[in-house]
Parts: sequence; structure tokens; C-alpha cells
Amino acid sequence: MPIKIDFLGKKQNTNNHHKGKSIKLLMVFASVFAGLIIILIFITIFFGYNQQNQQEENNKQIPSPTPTIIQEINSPSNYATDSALLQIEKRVDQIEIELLETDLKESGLNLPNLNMEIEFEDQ
Amino acid sequence: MKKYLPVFLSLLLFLLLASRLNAQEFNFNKAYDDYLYNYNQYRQANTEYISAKQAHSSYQTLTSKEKAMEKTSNLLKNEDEVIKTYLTALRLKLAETTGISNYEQNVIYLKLDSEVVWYQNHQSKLSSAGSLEDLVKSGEEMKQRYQETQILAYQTLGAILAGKQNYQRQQINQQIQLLKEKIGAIRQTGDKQTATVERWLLEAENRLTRSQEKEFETQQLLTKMKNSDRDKNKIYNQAQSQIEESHQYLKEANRYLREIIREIKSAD
Repeated sequence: MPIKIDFLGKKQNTNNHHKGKSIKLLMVFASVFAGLIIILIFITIFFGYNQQNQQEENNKQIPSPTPTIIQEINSPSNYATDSALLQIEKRVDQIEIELLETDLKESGLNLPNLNMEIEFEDQ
Repeated sequence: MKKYLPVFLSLLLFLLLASRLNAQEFNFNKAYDDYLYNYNQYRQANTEYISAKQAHSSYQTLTSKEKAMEKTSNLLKNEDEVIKTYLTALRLKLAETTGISNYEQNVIYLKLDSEVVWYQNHQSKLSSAGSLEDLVKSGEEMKQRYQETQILAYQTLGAILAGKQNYQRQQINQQIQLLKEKIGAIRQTGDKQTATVERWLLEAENRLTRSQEKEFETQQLLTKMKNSDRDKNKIYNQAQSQIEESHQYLKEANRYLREIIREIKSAD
């Protein structure tokens, strides 16, 4: 039977059976570790994707400040809470924001300034 | 565990590939980045051309001529590339803009595509140029063609801006129609005066008509642009100012709608 002396000077028996067991244990640990890493990668990807989506949604939801002064209605009519009218009001408010945000210059797409004067004094 | 590992890995690989494919989708932003990249390359090529031209002018040697030829060819190639990528970016911007009729969009697509093909051919012919004279001649051809390209680019930009206006005008008009129906229903019940809001609604419609007229004037201005017009940019700026006026009318029309709604919500 092989005898091994460890750094404390104690005798240790290491047979093939024990070796096989520890390799098996190591394999299980490695598999669990790999599984955990894969799960972590998945979580990171999905969280990143969700966060990106959420950010995009938030960007869409944040309305730009409008200069319109909202005045209180002192004596409301029967139509102050009319759902159809409120729906139109909501859309009109959205259009107001869209009108303010519209880029009417598209300055990034101005024509490139190119040198078209290709000439030489003495060709 | 080992059994599921390949499944996990293939799923992971699929997700990574899908995200990469999504990132590679060719849209306006990608086309615009391409254009900016090529524009930067062109600037560098132009600096080198100017330097080679000055050197040739001073030394008049065969070496300086050869260098000038190389740099001129490089400049022309870069110019072709800048124009091609610019027109592609314009095309994709046009595709992303709502409010332009399919017919108008297709007509402009055809013109832009044909223009890109011209520069593509011009670029491929550059490699066969045998002398500096050939390159100067090629540059002259490009200069002539660029007059037409400029008109097309300004008209496309005009169509993009007009498309945005058109879309917003349609949106406001839809709300006007809905309000008309609502006011009609209120008039029927007779529990609220509607004469004032009906008059205001006409005012809002009137603003939409003025906006449309301004847009029409813009289109006329851009359609009449000719090759011989020296300052095309000035004409385009005029057109852009008219688009802004048209936009102002839209804002007024929408503001009127808000006042109308407020009036309906208030008791007589």
C-alpha cells in the first residue's frame, strides 16, 4: 500500500480508490462552477438587454418641457371629464411635444464641402 | 450536468450571434457613420493633394509629377466615396421619414441610385487613368456631375423636411376632424354653446392651409433649382426658412386646438 508523508510529518494512505474519488469530486465541482458561470453570463446578458430596453422606454416616456402654461379650469362643463375629449387632448399634447422636437435643419446632412478644383499649372 | 452543458453553450453562442447580427443591421445611423468616416479620409487625401500639387508646382520634376498624379487619383477616389456614402445616408434618411408619398419616395430612390452608380463608374475608371491630364479631365467630369448631384441632394433634403411637416399636418388634421365630430355632438345635445369653438376650429384649419401653402412654395423653389444656379445653398436656405414658417403655422394650429379643448371643458 503506498504511504505518503505530508508536510506535518503525518503518514497518509493514498490508494487508487481515493484518487478516483477525489477526481470525481473535482469534476463535479468544475461542472458546478462552469454551470454557475454560464448562468451568470445569461443573467448579465438578459439584464443588460432589459436595462437597454428599459432605458429606451424611459427615454421615450420622458416628455420634453413645453412652454405652455396650463391654466386651471374654474368652472368645468359637463365635458370636462369626457373620455373622448380627454383622449383628443392627450394626443394634441403629444403633437405639441413632437412639434417642438422636430429637427427642421438636419444640419448633419448638409452637403459635404469638396474640393472640385483639380488643376495644375503645368500638366 | 455534462449533458446540458452543450445546450447551454449553443444557446449562449446563438444569443451572441443574434446580438451581433442586430448590431450589423444597415440603417441610417450606420450609413451616416460610414459617410463621416469617408469624409475624414477625404480631408486627409485633400491635404496630401494640396501638398503634392504645391511640390509639383515648385519642382516640376518627373518625381513630383508622379507624386501629384498619385495624390490626385487618391483624392478623386475619396471624393467619389464621400459622395456615394453621403447619397446612401440621404437615401436611408428618406426611407426612415414618414409623411412622404410612396411615389415621391420611389422617384427619389431611382435618382439617388443612378447617381451612386455614376460615381461608382467614375471611381472604377480612375485606375485606368494614364496621366495627370487624364485625372484632371476626370476631375472636370466629376465637377460637372456634382452640379446635378447637389440639386438632387437639396431636393431630397427638402422632401425629408416636407415629409416631417406633412406627417404632423396629418396628425393635427385628424384631431381637428375628431373635434369637429365632438362639437357636432355637443351642438345636437344643446347643453353648451358651440359657435365660438366652431369659429376657432376654422381658424385652426386655416393655419393648416397656410402651412400647406408654404410647403408648396418650398417645393417650387427646390424644383426650379438649375445647374447654372451659382449659389444653390442660398436657395436651399430660403426653402428651409419657408419650411420653418410652415412649421410655425402648424404650431399655431395645434395651440388653437388646445384652446378649443379648454373652452369645451369650461362651462358657458
